[in-house]
Amino acid sequence: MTPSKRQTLLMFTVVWGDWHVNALITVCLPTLLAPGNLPGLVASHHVRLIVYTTKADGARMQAAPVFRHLCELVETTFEFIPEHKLGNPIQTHHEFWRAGQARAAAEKAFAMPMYPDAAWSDGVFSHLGDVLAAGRKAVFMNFLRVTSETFVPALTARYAADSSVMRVPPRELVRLGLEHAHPLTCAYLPDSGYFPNHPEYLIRAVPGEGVSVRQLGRELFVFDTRRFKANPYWMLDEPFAEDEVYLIDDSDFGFGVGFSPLGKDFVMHEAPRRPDPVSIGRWWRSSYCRSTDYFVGRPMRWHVGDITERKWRAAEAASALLATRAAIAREALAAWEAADELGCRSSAALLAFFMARGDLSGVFNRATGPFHVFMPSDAAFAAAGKDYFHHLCAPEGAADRRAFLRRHVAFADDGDGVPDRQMICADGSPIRIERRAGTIRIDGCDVVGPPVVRDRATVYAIGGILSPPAAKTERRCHDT
Amino acid sequence: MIPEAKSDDLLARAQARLSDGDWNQAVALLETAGMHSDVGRDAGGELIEVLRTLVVSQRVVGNFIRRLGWDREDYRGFDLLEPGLRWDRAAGRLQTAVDDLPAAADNGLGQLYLAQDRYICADAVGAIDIAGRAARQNPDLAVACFYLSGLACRAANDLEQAKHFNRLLRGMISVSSSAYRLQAEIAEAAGDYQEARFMFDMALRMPDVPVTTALTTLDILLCQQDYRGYDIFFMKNRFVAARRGDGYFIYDRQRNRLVEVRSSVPSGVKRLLRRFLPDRWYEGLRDFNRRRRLYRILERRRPVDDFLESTTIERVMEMVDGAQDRMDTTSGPSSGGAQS
Repeated sequence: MTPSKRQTLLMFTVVWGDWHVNALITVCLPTLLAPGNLPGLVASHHVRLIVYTTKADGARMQAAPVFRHLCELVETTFEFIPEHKLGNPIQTHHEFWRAGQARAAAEKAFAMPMYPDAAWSDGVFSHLGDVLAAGRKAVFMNFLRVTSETFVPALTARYAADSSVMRVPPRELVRLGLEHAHPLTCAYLPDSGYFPNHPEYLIRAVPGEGVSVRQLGRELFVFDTRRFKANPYWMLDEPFAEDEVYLIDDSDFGFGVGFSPLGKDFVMHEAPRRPDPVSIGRWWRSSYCRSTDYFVGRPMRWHVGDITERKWRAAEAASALLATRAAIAREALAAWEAADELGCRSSAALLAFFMARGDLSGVFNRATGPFHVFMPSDAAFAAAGKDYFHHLCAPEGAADRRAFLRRHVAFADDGDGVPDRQMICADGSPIRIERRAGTIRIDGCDVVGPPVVRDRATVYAIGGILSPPAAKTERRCHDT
Repeated sequence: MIPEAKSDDLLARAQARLSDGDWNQAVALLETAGMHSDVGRDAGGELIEVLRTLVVSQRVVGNFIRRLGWDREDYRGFDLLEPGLRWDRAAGRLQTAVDDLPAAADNGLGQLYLAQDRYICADAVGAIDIAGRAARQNPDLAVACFYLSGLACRAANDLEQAKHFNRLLRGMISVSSSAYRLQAEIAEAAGDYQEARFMFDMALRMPDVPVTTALTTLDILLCQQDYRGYDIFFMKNRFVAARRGDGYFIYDRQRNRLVEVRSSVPSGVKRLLRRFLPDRWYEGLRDFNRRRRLYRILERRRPVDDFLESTTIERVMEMVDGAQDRMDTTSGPSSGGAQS
């Protein structure tokens, strides 16, 4: 990474209403004004803030001492939201975040939306300044959701000696946050019994030390508008190099909490539910974007004291296992959908069965790029007979099942489309491709009709069942 | 006794206290309102929802704290709740609220909640017992109760009982992925792999929503998008398949029918605008459309009469297969052949 020049950051916050304005004035801004936060950031970069609010709330904010302190440090402007735009809070936020992004782009600046109902540990923004100076173009972080009714009074009682500056060391903020963790956060533990229906992250408790968090999706925290544009969900869905992006993965470097009243979003965890890889995979597929794989390999550590490496590794390994299984299901779901579209109902049902049982390890998780799946047609399975199906599904057929699966998924270095001569199967052996008079044969089986592409999977209906290389002498492809 | 004239007011005040985050007052007001004949049923139902929010919240927090190696006293997030609403006492009050509810149908939902929570606590026998009571009191909940009972039996490894509940479940409409998945697991455990494959496959076609949500809250639910050119919905206790067009389908509650909504702006025009207008202009145009409600003028609604319907999704899919196969036959042999 080459050290970069001083950057321009455009922060923007969208805030209105008594409760949110109060949270901004009494907690968010005082923690932002801690020495290691905005003061540290403005020392290395040029920072500007736009506050999108109503006229009445704007006047109230400007009268607050903390705002005067803020304005001495950062150029702050107010832009007023017309009354008719306050109907749907989420829509309004997105609209003004988009406006902030457009403004940042016009100024060739970094864009940084700021939640008004959040508190920051001291040092987050100095660290952010270092990261941006080192050349990173996009930064991500996550927040611990806390119960606002009890957390805010506890925080202010302990740290608000000077009303305009609140200096909260990271480990103390983590401890306080965990003492007031919101029930929704707690439901993300795999054995909570009420795992949420929106599995954006996985949590594991590390006894006595904190929580390990693994993200399956996350909005952008700060990004260079000259390089990236947020998608409509404020996520990064463009190609990027790993050294362009950064995740604040250790609470010692930066930690934040977000406020939520007790009972908020209860609907997300009201039903008994286990963290099932297929369910997570379904959700994940619907919200997948290019930055997802970056997060999933980088667990975050929110800790109240020193780290016992062994304990954290164990927690991280457990969440990695679940995330990997969910990722396998996500890829398999694409292939299942394509098989269905190709009319390969038997293959689709068999894949659903293997997916639910977790039999696809070593098959779909080998795909780091586009991959190819060969789905025997219904006629091919009918020719193979019911006993063959039964054997593949039964416990005693485990070895043949593994061989079958690994033979029907292949990878090719040259991406999409059928390569000319051969591909490498998931079992590591080559698979022969013949083209003759407008037809294609895969290891001796005809490809039936055009392939269907879903996500990274290119799926073909084939008129037979491919045999593993070792079994070729005894068992030929069941051509129909 | 509180004068009847104030009973409506009690409910409104309870809701206001709840939105202010004052759970203590909200529960007290709902318990008082529950004694009134005119609002007792509403208040009782709401009290159950409120108490269950607390019970489940405290259950997940309790587990979290235990996993952290802390004591309950270390957790401060429930400090504002009065002692009678904390931890095990909230569960006791929920049980009382369910038992006190006068109307059997409402009581059924409360019983179902209790059964679900009992299941989570690994009390399978208790869960089955309460689920059975819930089903008797509110037949609309039978599917959810059979599901839960099957789940509990499966967890307790009582395969025969699980199969019994499975049969009951199969005999009824189900629109939840979880219900099919349970049936698949039971079939698999019994060695019936053909049934298991079919059920796992069906589970992927169903929305991933809890059984109770699927049954009680939705008019129309998209189960399968673009199945051989049809969208398949669960609508008013039936499965319907409608041929896909440029628009989307809604359930018109007033006319009790399926309606297709289409924009009168051709999709090609939209694509051109998207391609050639700067993002800001395009977004501005969309915003203008939304704010001025122009879409109401631009959209066309068409009642859909030519749909396929059945009480099971399997049958609807067969009907779609039949319709598509007939169409393939009448339009001649498909081009076939392999392509790259």
